[in-house]
Amino acid sequence: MRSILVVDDHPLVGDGIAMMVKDMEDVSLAAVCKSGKEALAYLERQSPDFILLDLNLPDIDGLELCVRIRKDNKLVKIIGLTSTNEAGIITQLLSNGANGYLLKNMEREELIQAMEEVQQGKIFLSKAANQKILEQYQSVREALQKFPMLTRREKEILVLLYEGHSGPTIADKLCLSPFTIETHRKNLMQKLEVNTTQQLLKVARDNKLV
Amino acid sequence: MRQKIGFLVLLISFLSVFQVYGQRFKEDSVRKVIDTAKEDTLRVAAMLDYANYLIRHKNEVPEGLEVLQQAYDLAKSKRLLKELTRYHLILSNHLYLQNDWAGAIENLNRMQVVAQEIPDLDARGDAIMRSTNNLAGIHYFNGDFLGALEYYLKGLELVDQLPHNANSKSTLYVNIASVYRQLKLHDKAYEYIQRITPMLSEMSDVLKVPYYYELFQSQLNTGRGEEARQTLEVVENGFQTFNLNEGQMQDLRIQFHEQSGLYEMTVTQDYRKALAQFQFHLKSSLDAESDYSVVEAKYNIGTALDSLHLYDQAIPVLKQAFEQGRALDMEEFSLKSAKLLAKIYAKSQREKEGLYFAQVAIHLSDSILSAEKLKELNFLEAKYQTQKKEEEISKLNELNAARELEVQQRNRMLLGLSIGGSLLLLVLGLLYRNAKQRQIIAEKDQKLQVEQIKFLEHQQQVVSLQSMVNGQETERTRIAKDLHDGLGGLFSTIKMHFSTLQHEQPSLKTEPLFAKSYEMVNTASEEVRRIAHNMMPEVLIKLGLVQAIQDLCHSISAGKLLQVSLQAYGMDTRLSSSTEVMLFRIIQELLNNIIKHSGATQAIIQFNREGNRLSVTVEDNGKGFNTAESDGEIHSGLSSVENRVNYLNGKMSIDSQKEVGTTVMMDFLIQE
Repeated sequence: MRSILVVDDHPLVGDGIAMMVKDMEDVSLAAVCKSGKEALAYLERQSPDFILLDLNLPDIDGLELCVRIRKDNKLVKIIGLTSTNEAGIITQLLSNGANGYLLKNMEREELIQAMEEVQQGKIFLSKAANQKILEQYQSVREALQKFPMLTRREKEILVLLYEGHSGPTIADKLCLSPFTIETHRKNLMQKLEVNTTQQLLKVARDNKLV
Repeated sequence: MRQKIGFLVLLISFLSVFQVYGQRFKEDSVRKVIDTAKEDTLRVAAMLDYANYLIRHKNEVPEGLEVLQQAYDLAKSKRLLKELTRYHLILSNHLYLQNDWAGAIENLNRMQVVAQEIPDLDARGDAIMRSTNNLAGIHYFNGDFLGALEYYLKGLELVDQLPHNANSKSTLYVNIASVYRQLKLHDKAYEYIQRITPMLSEMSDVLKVPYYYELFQSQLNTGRGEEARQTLEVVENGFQTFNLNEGQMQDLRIQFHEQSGLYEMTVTQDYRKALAQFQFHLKSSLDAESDYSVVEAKYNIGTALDSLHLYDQAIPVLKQAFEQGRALDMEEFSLKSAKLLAKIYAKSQREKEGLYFAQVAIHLSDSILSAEKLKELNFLEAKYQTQKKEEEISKLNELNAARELEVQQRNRMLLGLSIGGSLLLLVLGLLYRNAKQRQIIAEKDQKLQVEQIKFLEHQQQVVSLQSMVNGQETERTRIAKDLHDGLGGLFSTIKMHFSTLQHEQPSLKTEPLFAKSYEMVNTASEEVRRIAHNMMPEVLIKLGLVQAIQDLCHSISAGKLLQVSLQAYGMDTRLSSSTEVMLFRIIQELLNNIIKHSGATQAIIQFNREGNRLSVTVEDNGKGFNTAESDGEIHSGLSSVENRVNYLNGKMSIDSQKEVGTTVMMDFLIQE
């Protein structure tokens, strides 16, 4: 018999899960904790197999609680319960040590499937989550590590700098204020990780930007 | 009732300024004084009067503020303390009328600080009393009656220490009575208004207008019908005897007819007489061109006609009160009119119209409630922020004073040493140089402090603007959370129950009604999620700006029309949550503009943060627009962005080229 701990401050949600679980064969609801502190106290005494963890608790933020639970409980399978379907929250939850996540308006079958999959060591994602968004999210994260993409204005300014124009003349040419040019130049140096205009132009040339 | 009260309290607050030049303001002569006066005191006083006249009476606000600023500069350079307090009073009254509570409170607080230094005890007490009275007024207008009472009582304490002045005392008594009336402690109100009786002969006639108003109300509310009747008689005689200008006389007439009508309605219950009085009330309001009073009078006429069962006549006049009330934002009167209309329609068996107005009434009372809550929230925020800034400023001021003392002491020491020392000339010379250097450093520090104070003061103005916007965002966050936790949780649970039920009774699966309900619950719960997300994305609160913008970019890019990419540099630590929300809204609005108007296929959002500098770039490859003559919709989108950038103390530059694209760049200085 495997046991479930539900952490959710909404009384009805606890009841709903209890209803779903009551005639499942090899799982039982061990307890419902209404706050993060209550859950941490409970986990000092007991070790449930699953934790269904609400992300909005009155005392500790669910994402933070996930890290704290994971620190002292390596084996427990944590499934986040959210009422939002936001990619940023989901990826953060998974990197904080959760094994999966379910949307709160899940169906009974989905809950069973989630528990089975995380038991087998897989990551479970609610079917309502747009997988594509998640994949895309990952791909863009990787893209962030690569060479920075320059804006159109930045490219123009880089070329003009390369041609030997000074900040004020560039401002005149592009009908912008020198202050704006200066900001663009500072942004460029930060993006390309250099400290002087000389280095900036070198990196630009090496990367065939000019 | 709100407007009326606001009007009364204001009247009292402004007495000081009116009295200086009597009742008729002669613009030319004041300008002459400004141009020719030899004494600075006279000139500043005239400038202040002129500024107040321009702002309050001629409605030429920018010009008035300019004169006011000049008066301030002159008063400040000549250290004219009394005039400085009047400057703060006039400015705070102006801000009060703009609903800028934080600004108004700030000026009154500064007025108190300046007042402390006025050597003349009478003038000092007077200035402190006035600022206390007006601080109370601000709390009163915002519905914080207990806060107002506290200030009024403090003002009373001050007045008691000053030489006897009937006008200051009775001003406070009238105001206190008014607070007690709001708190429905009518016996208390009656008690305070009675305290004025012995001073009546010394009191100025202008102050009698609000005095008799409160006196009558307190008599009516405590069931003293006969006394109330006598009060009305005194007021009626006052038309001949009181020394009032035309406008004040009109106010008195409006007040008299309204109160006479109320007297007939509640005490004698002679509704015909009441109707007649209310018709005079309407006539005098129309003569005075006072739109607010016109609405009140029409509503009152409606109540009298209702009591006379003359429903056919009551309906059109109440409808007018309702419509005009709405146009003037007098929600309480539109609400009262709508309620009465619903009642009358129901009585005359016109259910359809009755139902309509009953619904309107419910809608109005909802919107009044939420508007008041928002107002309350903003006021609380303004109070909190002002207090915080004041604390910082006073702390710096203290430091500054300590440093000044240090410099003085050092100067004295140097003097002593240079006279006494002849033997240890060399040693002293060294010491002197050392001390001198330190003195220079101390003076530099002091200059820095002064600059910092100036900066903080500017910040304070920005904060009061911010608090308004923040109030809105706080409310959005709260509603989104309530939706998620409350309604969202409920729908989820219903769905769980359905799912369990379906498992227990498989036959239900073929039941079309069950399947349909199941699906509708699902849709409803998705809808709640969507609404809450639009109000305030959870990712923004929990994980911050970059993640939230990342999510936003993906959901836009998923639509295939526009690809938005994000680049963030130096954004590892989070900004303050209000700044994050504000920046999120700015970018949201800019992306909206791009999608709606630009026809772009690509956009880049870029954050660059180095130390305190944050620059945000939003660029697209759309068709661009002429920044000078942009069309209405783009313009309104951009101006809301511009406002928010200003709130954050930022600079924005838009550079747009036809058929190439638009680059919007914003620079901020981030305070931590």
